[in-house]
Amino acid sequence: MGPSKDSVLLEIRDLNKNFGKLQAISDFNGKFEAGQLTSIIGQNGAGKTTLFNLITGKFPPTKGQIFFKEKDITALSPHLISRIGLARSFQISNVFLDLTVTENVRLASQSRFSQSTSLFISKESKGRLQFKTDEILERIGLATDRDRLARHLSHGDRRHLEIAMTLALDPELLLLDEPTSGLSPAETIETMNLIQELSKHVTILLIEHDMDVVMTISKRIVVMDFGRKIAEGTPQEVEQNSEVRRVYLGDL
Amino acid sequence: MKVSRAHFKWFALCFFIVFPLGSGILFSEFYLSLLIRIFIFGIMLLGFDILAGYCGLASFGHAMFYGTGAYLAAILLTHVTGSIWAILGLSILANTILGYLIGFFSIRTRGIYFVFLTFALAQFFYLAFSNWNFVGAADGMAGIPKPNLGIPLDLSNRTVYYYFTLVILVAAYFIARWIVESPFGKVLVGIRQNEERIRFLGYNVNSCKRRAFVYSGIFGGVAGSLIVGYLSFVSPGVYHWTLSAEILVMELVGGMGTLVGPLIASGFVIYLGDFLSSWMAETWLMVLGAIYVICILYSPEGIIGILRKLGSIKRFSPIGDKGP
Amino acid sequence: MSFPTFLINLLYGFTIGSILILISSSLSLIFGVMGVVNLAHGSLCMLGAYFGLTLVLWTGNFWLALIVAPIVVAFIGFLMEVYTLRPLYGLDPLLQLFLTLGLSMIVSNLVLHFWGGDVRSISIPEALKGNVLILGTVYPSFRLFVFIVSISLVISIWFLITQTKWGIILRAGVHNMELVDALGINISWVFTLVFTFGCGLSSVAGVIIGALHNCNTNMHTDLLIWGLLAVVIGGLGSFRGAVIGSLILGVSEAFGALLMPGLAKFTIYTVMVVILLLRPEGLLKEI
Repeated sequence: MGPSKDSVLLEIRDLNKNFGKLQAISDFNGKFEAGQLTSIIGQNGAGKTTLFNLITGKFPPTKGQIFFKEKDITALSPHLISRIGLARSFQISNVFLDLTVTENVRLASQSRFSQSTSLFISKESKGRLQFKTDEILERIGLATDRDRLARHLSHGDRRHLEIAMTLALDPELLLLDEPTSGLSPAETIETMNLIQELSKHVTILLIEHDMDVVMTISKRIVVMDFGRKIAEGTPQEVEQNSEVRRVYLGDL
Repeated sequence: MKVSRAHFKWFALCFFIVFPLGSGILFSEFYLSLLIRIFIFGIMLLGFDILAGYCGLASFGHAMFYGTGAYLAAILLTHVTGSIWAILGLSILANTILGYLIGFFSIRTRGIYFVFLTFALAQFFYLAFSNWNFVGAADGMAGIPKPNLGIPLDLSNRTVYYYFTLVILVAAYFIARWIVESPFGKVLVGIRQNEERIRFLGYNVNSCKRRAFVYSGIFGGVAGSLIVGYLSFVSPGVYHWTLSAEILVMELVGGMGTLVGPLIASGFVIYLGDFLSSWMAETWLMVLGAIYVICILYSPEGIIGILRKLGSIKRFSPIGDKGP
Repeated sequence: MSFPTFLINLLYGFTIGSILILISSSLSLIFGVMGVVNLAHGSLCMLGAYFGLTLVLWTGNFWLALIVAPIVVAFIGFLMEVYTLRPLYGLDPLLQLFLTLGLSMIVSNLVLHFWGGDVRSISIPEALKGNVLILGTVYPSFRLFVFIVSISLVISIWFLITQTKWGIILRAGVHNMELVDALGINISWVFTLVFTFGCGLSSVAGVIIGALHNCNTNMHTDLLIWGLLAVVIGGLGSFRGAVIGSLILGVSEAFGALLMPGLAKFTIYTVMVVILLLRPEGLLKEI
């Protein structure tokens, strides 16, 4: 039941964002097809997270539009954007520290139920909610830590919890913001495999610094610098792009 | 461990049920009166805990709901009807609307500004009712007729009123439990812990906060109406910010987000207040302030925190598993 | 209203305003530097007034009271900060707020307990009784004196804050405490200093108010609210904001009392609510 190929899931037109005198995003345009994993790379401060923030409605753009499944979502608030199938994870783990792993994921899963903010919940729905939560925990590999407080998780496990919560939202488009940041090489590979597995069922936009990961799992890569898109293409095309090489000064 | 907590609650309930039998015989009738006030405050604290303890909205204007319930009851009892059911019903209705309005405006602010705003809003009510001649302005109204139950049980009898408020308190407790254990309640906890994340998970945070205001306001309003039904007296003091402050103190001393904690604390504070005010007049508040400060410094989780540390209650997760 | 009357009222308004500055600027600074909204500020100011009252009753010397009372209150503030506020740094700011609320309760009821509920006044020195003639109008000498003292204090503080090295470091600290720390300055003691000084400053206002108006056990509420409102108007953390907010309030009080006495209190809260809803950062830009 994967997304239909060759349909444009997310389209960004003439996106601009400035904070006072700082031009964070300039004339960004992009079309992201369903079923693909696209990585967004760039130096620190290139505007990648700002891009995510704009897409997910954290703040409005100064100019430009964002379309999801051909619907204009530019002015929508974050919770509505989340509801229509766009979920994001955060660069710095943004979980509920004083709740257990299960409670964290369950809270995320709950939002997709019709009784998400209801005072009533049937026993049957409760059961389905728990089942879904358990399923996600298994899939991400956190089942053994289910009763541990998020505060007591290792950094790597917290990053996984981050992804688990985002996944529990049944998104069509998953925005992952540096999921491997701060992880050990072993954990990075684990996460990479996880993401690759996810990409079979969900369209993914990935911000990453780790070039090995990017090169291995991306279908397409978008390169940003100073708020602009400076290159786009398959990993091979980007690798050979002179502009990209110049910016990265041989980091590739 | 959970067994001992449930046992404790049933024991307390039984105690309160048989308590009036000893009134006049084992101890003075005054204690019935004291307990009635404790029960009424307890109802209000349950609602406030939902707002402040679970949702994290430490409003400094909760007296608004108490006062509105009180004055509404006063006006209805004097001019319209004596039916306690009608009064409670209208009080709930009025405070639903009020809660929604207050919530709508208050949630536009955060942190310290939220505290200021709720404080300022409550002051409006205080000033308005202090100057409204229809309800006696600064002097308030005295000699308000007693309410009736509509059945041959006389509410002006202290024992009857005692049981009446006890029943409402127990009902309020179960309703509050139901609210905080529902999916809605769990979202409130999420809002308190990480508002941004809850929003990005797809929850309409503003709507939930408004609802929290409404629910907690209803509890406060019922309490206000009940106190007037008992004391037959109302004054602008029901809107005074010191009342909101007392509520906050009880909430903190009891333990935020535990329901039972603030209940215990309200009893403790009112009892202590009565006991101390006999030999310290109004300055017993000084002692309360000191207890409160000590609590903040050494046990921010309040009475429940202390009990927890003593090992008699295991970690009470506000959205914990109740188990299969 | 004739022009001289207008000016006289303006002077009075500035007088009230400058007294208020003593309270609001310290409140604002404590928030700006320490991140703490000191709800005990009104009570401490009141404590200063009552200490002043007692000192004048004992020694008959108003000047002594004006200097010693603030020092005593500053010391109490010092103890408060070290023993009750310090343990809470880094924790939930709401907890600190609740703490100052508790402290306020303790202090204000302490005053009630020791001084009783009657309204008292601090007697002003002989030299300052009587009136002077300003622009053909009779004006109480003491009010003029108050104005001169308060304005001088405000100007001195302004000078301290904007022209001296320490003042500039302090203002930098409002924005970025880590910067100050990086300069090798002990933040803890900066906090203690700011809080202590703030308490002392507001008690000067307390003594003045006790003499100009009266000492009553409810004054702490009004003092705190006025102080908070001035700070909210000007923006939390800004000295200049506190100055302007206080002057605005002082002048509106002077004219409002003349024009529409009944609505005064309502207006205060309306203004507060409107500002908080529309522009909580204050009506003015940063320092």
